[in-house]
Amino acid sequence: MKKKLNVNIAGINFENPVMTASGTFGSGKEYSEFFDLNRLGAIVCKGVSKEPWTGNEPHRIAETYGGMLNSIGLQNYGAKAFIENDLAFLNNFETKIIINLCGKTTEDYIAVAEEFANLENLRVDMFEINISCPNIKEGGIAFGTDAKIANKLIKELRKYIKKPIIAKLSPNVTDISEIAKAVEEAGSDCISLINTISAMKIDIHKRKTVLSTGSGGLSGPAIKPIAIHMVNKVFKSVKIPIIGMGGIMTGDDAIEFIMAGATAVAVGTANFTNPYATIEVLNGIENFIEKYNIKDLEEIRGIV
Amino acid sequence: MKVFTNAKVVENINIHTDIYKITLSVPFAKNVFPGQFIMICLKNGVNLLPRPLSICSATESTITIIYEIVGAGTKEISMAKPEDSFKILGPLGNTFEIPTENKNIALIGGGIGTPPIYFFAKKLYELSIPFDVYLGFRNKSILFDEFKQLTKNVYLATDTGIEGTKGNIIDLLKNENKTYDYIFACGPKPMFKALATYKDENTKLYLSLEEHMACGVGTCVGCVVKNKDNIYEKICVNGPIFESNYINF
Ligand SMILES: Cc1cc2nc3c(=O)[nH]c(=O)nc-3n(C[C@H](O)[C@H](O)[C@H](O)COP(=O)(O)OP(=O)(O)OC[C@H]3O[C@@H](n4cnc5c(N)ncnc54)[C@H](O)[C@@H]3O)c2cc1C
Ligand SMILES: Cc1cc2nc3c(=O)[nH]c(=O)nc-3n(C[C@H](O)[C@H](O)[C@H](O)COP(=O)(O)O)c2cc1C
Ligand code: FES
Repeated sequence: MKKKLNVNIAGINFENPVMTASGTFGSGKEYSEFFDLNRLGAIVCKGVSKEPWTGNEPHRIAETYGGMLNSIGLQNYGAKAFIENDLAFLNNFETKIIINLCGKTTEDYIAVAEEFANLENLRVDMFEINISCPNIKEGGIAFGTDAKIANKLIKELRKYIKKPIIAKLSPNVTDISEIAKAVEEAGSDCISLINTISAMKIDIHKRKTVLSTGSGGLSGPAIKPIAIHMVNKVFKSVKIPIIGMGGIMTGDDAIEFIMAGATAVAVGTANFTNPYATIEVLNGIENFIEKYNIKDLEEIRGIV
Repeated sequence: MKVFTNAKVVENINIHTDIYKITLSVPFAKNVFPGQFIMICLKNGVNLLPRPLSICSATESTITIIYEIVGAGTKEISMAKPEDSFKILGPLGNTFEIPTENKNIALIGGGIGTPPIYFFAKKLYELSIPFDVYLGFRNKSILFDEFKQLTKNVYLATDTGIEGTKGNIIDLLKNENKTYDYIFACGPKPMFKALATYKDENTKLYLSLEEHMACGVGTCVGCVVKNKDNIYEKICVNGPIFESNYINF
């Protein structure tokens, strides 16, 4: 019997639970040279703001034990160019399209959401809100590190976004379940986690930080156990579905996230070490459910 | 067309202190151009990111790279034996563009930046396009004899004076005092800055840049340089070679 790989989130059917993590897959064009993008459950695009963002000075990348730091600074060419180039390209595929939105103020987020509100011929399936951005009106602390601010932002955006919303949580908080409950209450349809963890690397020979910004965000296998812990904690605190991510390299890693409670998974940093990473994760999930004769991922979701 | 593939080590030899030459058997060897690079994946999961390395020469079925041990990744590569293999991604980046008219050309290699310049020199030689070569090193040179087989005009300087003239690339250029229509260079940033200041206004200077990389294909937006309009461009796809007036470094 054919195994059931498709998953449903907020009424949308995904052919399989494997997605790309925002900012690690561009808008798919680069990787379409390697495989058919239709094999993915969804493509989550790199973060987009209304106006272009310059991004940070280099170095933007540093390698650390089993992971990497980045301080890209959400460089992007703004919503208009994104719609013309990236979104138009993605509309050639059947795979689900998730747009990742960023902003420095609530008004910024609304403005970029409105750019996507009335697109005649272009499909967008869901919006992911990156609430890890610093809120410049509140002294630069990230929207996602304060339950009240996160709640207010999602509530506000809910008025402007008709499609399902995913709130993407920052792990740089004391109690992740508190933020999860706040965005659920605000009307988020889904939660994705984790974004990168604040971290720093010092070049001891040069006596300065490797990244120009000092600190950056840690991703890759080094963060997986933290991500698993947080997904499980959120799974036990809210009812809405979860997209789990953080260090997924193989199908077994993805299964671990599903057992922690994730409905779908996203592959990020692994794309940099292997352009076929998403496909290998998908094949790995298939092998696992074959081996244990699992008929529906629901059988193992959140079993711990 | 970029390929992610297994590459078998044909040879991996120590040329001198900390500098190695590795030859890899790769399916895309026929399709590589001077200036391009590959990303080489390490097996040790601790060193997650693939390492960018320039192609120094190519045959029908192999590519050769010259690299210096500067950290854990290059150390691991130096331990590889013939028949071992690495996963690699390539060919990546743009290429040195061959001037269409017969022009005066200088090729400049500084330290471990010299290998991609050698690949371009070989190409020009095959096309019977004349060029001069300027090489600068800390104390020991690489590829000097190989360049000598392509042109008699190879000028060498070392900081210590152990080989060639004591001094740097700019000293050599001043000594020769020739004007060039095109200069193609790869080496350390201070050398680029000195060249940009020294060059004639009409000389077109092309630089092959380096920056920390993660993806090598343009998705991570990590490897950037500011262009003249103050927009960050990706070195892995729009470069690594840029015209000096186009960038703001
Ligand atoms: C397009 C390009 C072509 C290159 N070609 C050559 C070549 O032909 N021969 C050669 O010897 N070296 C070359 N380099 C530099 C080479 O990539 C680095 O020396 C190497 O990545 C260092 O890795 P490591 O693990 O030994 O050092 P570590 O310092 O331990 O590396 C840590 C991290 O920093 C990155 N990093 C460190 N130094 C550099 C650097 N100079 N440039 C880019 N990333 C760096 C590494 O890739 C890794 O992610 C090139 C770099 C680029 C961008
Ligand atoms: C280079 C890079 C860029 C990223 N850009 C974004 C972004 O634009 N928006 C966002 O919500 N998350 C961004 N992230 C976070 C990832 O989507 C993901 O949450 C995180 O990296 C953890 O997953 P991983 O360990 O599989 O990479 C970025 C991560 C990296 C490494
Ligand atoms: S290395 Fe990722 S964009 Fe250049």
